[in-house]
Amino acid sequence: MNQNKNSENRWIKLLIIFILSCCIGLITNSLRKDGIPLIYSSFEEIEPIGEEYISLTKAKELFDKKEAIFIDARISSEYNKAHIKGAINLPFTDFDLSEKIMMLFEKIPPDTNIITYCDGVECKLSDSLAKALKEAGFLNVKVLHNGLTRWKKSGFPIKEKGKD
Amino acid sequence: MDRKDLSPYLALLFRWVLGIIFIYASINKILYPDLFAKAVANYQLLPDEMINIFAIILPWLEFLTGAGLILGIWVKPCAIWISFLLFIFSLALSISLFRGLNISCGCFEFTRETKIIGVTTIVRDISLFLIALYVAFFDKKLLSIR
Repeated sequence: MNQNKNSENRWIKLLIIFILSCCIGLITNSLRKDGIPLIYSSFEEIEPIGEEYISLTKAKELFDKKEAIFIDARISSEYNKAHIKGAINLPFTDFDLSEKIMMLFEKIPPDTNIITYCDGVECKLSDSLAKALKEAGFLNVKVLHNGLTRWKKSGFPIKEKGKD
Repeated sequence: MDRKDLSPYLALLFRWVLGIIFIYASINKILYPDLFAKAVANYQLLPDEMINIFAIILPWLEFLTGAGLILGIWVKPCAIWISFLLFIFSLALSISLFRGLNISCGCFEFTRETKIIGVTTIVRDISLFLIALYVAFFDKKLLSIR
């Protein structure tokens, strides 16, 4: 009987800890100036502002019209697992990146629309690759921030390993 | 002296280590809830409607349970909560790694470039999970308030 009571007490304490966390969290969030809304807004919230970026809508428009080349800046193993359909892979971390960019420069006109992307809000590979492409002479390079995640979340075409 | 005699002292040491880690982990999350919410969103596991609420409540759960371990208040319930959280974190990290997501952990720091998740992150969380279980089972209320 003592054991049952101990077990019951433990459950009550677990619940109290959780309720306390909820109360403190919600109250402090409502009182602070930089409190966040209760519902996360994924689409508008992570669209960065800047000339170097392209919106998801615009990128999809160019994709549909086949008026842009998408370049995945991640390492090959990440690219092979999943990438935007039709995107080529130019890992920014490759030791021979400069050579690969020069080869690309010989194949396509410098005013081609190029959209670089990687994965994750904090991923900067696409920004770095875009900068390298511009320095090589490409004129219309844009970055699709957190490209793969947002593209996939919007249900746009993806090529995944093992799937057609 | 057999191993059982040492267990309360080991549990006390583990309590303090876990408590400090969890309080430290909660600080940036409390200070920057928007960045923590983005880090949570990157895992693509929770529905959008739950992300911010999770980002608001979790840091305080970490803080309170960490403080509970250090002060010796309701140690076993705090250790049980921490074990549960670490189990969830390990699972989330494993799923994300399996999916090939190139994201940072969001465990401690968001205000500068952080390492992307890897096997070491999962091993770390599993180790802490085992430590928390040890505390839950072997704590004997040494240097405890309640």
